Amino acid sequence: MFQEIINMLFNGTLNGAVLSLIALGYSLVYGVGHIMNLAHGAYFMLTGYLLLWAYHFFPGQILINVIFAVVITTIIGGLTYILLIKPVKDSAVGVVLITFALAFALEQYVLIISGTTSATISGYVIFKGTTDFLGYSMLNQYVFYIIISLIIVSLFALFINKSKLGKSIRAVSQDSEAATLMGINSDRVLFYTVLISAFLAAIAASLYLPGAALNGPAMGWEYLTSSFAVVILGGMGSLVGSIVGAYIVGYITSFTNVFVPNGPAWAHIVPIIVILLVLIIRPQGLFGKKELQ
Amino acid sequence: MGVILEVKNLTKKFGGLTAVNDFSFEIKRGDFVGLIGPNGAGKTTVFNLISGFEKPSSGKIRFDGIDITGMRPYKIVNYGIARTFQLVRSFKFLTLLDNVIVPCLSKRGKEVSKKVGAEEYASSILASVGLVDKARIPPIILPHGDLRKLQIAKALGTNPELLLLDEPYSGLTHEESAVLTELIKKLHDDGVTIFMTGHVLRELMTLVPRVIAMHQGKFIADGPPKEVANNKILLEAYLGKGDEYA
Amino acid sequence: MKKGLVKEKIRNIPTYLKSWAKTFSGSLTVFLLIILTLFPFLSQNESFINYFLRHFTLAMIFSIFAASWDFLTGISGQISFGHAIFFGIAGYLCAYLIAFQGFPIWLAIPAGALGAVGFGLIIGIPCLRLRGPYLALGTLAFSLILLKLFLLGSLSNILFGSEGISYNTGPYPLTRLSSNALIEYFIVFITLIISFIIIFQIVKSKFGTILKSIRDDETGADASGINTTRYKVYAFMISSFFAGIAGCFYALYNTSVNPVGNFGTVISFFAILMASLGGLTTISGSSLGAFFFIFLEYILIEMGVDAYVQLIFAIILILVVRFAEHGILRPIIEHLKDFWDVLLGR
Repeated sequence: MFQEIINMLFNGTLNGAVLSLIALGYSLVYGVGHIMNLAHGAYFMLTGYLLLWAYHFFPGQILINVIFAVVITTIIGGLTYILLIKPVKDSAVGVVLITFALAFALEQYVLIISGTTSATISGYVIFKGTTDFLGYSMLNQYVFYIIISLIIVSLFALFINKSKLGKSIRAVSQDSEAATLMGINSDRVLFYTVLISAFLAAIAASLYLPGAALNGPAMGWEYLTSSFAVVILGGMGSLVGSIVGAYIVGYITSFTNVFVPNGPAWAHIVPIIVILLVLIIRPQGLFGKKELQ
Repeated sequence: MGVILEVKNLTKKFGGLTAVNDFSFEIKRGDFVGLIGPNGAGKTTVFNLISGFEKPSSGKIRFDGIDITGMRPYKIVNYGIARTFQLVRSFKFLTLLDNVIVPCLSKRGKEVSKKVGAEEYASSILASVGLVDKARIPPIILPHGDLRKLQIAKALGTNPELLLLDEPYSGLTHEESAVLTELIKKLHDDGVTIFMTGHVLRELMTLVPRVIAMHQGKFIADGPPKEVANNKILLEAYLGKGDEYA
Repeated sequence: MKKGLVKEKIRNIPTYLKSWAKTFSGSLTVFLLIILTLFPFLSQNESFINYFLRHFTLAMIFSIFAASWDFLTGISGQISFGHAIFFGIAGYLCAYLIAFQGFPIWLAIPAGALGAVGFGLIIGIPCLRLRGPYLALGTLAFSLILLKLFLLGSLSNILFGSEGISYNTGPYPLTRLSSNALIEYFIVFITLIISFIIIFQIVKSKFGTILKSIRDDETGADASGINTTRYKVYAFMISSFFAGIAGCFYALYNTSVNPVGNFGTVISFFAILMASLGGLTTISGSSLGAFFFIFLEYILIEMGVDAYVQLIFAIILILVVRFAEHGILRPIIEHLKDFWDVLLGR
């Protein structure tokens, strides 16, 4: 019994840590540009597979491979903005269609190369082994990941509040026109935002996926759906909301996994239930506001 | 002629900001009233609250005796209130005629338009605002003045008893303003109660026989333009404290 | 008064049809319809014809599906990324009724379509609060969840699991549209024509104008006294009905249903892809898009690059959205139109 509770708490925290980095970037892009990048889940998935492929060619160069994968994904994020999003920015349907098509294209590309069978990238685990805590054994890599994710979120909070780019981001998210009048290049800011969001997703993937598994390129859609649930729960455009929402969804999912009969199967459904409930009860989410906070 | 619009203690808070504060007034059927106040006074919010696009934090709005507080916009329209928007909006991929046909197909609009058919009726409305020769054109290529006229035409499609005009003169040239004034006067003569906000005071003050003034969400004054124009608080609100402009 | 109007309208149909056929798009459509009608009889080689017939039939099934998506997204402005839901539910219901309840086809198809409409309501109503990208993601999430539910091993006694339902036993009145590919082709062809006529008439009508107004400016439609909620629900119901018809035909075409094949993201993707190529607001474009992609897929498979098919499709969609928001078929048709005018000396 006790072990199950620890299981639930640990995995809930882990889920929250994963979702927080992914949803943070997703919410950031929406808050700044009112754009939903449907390829966001694909960035996460792609990083995992880039790591897999790099491992085949350079099994020894762990650090370089990670840098390579994160950089590539981040560049793809930037290119997504420049080539695809920016030209169709005025049409909400257009952005959604083009990023959806991109997500699909990335999925197909990975599918062609690696197929649908599960793969592992455990070669990238930094902290091997497990730690026992009151009967439940936790992957050290996961503990490491949780700690890192909290550090990253804190650094991000600092960045967004203190740095010049961070302040520009907040300005554009509040009022893009006013920001332009103040001399901020809104377009450039949005570009950096998409870049950062892809970067966060890539980091999350490099540190988390080695301990998990790559479940086929379709896994990108699951993370996209979860991001959406998190961001709707937290309130579109609220960064604090994304973090809080991530952990809430994380705990609900792990609770379902552990305590609901046939849990793991139903755990997939959790995001949509969250979406439905939020829409029915409180559509603006917990912290829903127009500007970033 | 009875009271057509009764607003009591209307309040709207957005988080920490109180946009409309305990605002009350009455409008009688057939009136022609202006709503003035400096930028940010809360005029558009008041309109949004009356027309259902925002829900009041507290207070009551009664139209023709019916409590319409917090009702959904389309329901309010079907009771007889129509509005135009400060930022011009239109059904951009439809023709002008279709733009006006849509309100004619509302529950209330249908009661009148079904006699001659929606197309006929919409055509006649376009004619009354002087846009009938552009009926087959989509709004995208029209000049600003025509778009403002289109908004009024759309509002008329629902056969309103009370017409809320939100900054209708915004962005118009001198000629366009004159044409608009004629149109509004004619509507009033035809029996429509008109309630309009204005920022360009010159036009408003010579047009309407009665003006309500607000500042920072609060009621300031209500009366004939000459009287209200001399209201000290209002002058301060518009011009700042007296000394600098001596 | 009303009865007289209707009678008059019916009497006017022949003249109306004649003048329509004289217009460019009218004559083009008639031309294509004639080709489609005569095509099966063009060659003596039975197996050759049958082989192609099946591809045409598939293209027509997806034409209906793409048109249903276009009706919801391009005409009514409700972006649906989960259209596979209606397609799959109808297919499953139809297959289930035929395989396990002994329903005859002519009953199972409408039942399946009505099941899809039921889902149109279930999905539509919570989604009413969503607009634009939120709606797209919401519908996508719904379709993913449905896919997962049907794949769940634990529910496989109710939902048939990853194997789905398969029923190629039994003579044709019971399990497929026809044992003869030709009859199958014509049944789908006629349904296609009827469906398109209905959708077209709806779009042209005042009801259609209201839907378009909601698409162009929902707040403005609200301000015009339109109960936008009600019309959005209608749009979902109509769209899901036709998606359901297509889904039933697809199930019958394959004589089987399974989660990935009927509920997969790729199905939703196809609807979007085909409708977008032809232009988001043209219903007929959906059909051209469907034919284009079904045959492109065929060509690519013949070339031996089947693994790349969907990747290529995705790239095409990216290019279409990026460079030709009104679809590429429109400009092509415009050029054809000018050519036609020149030919006729206008």
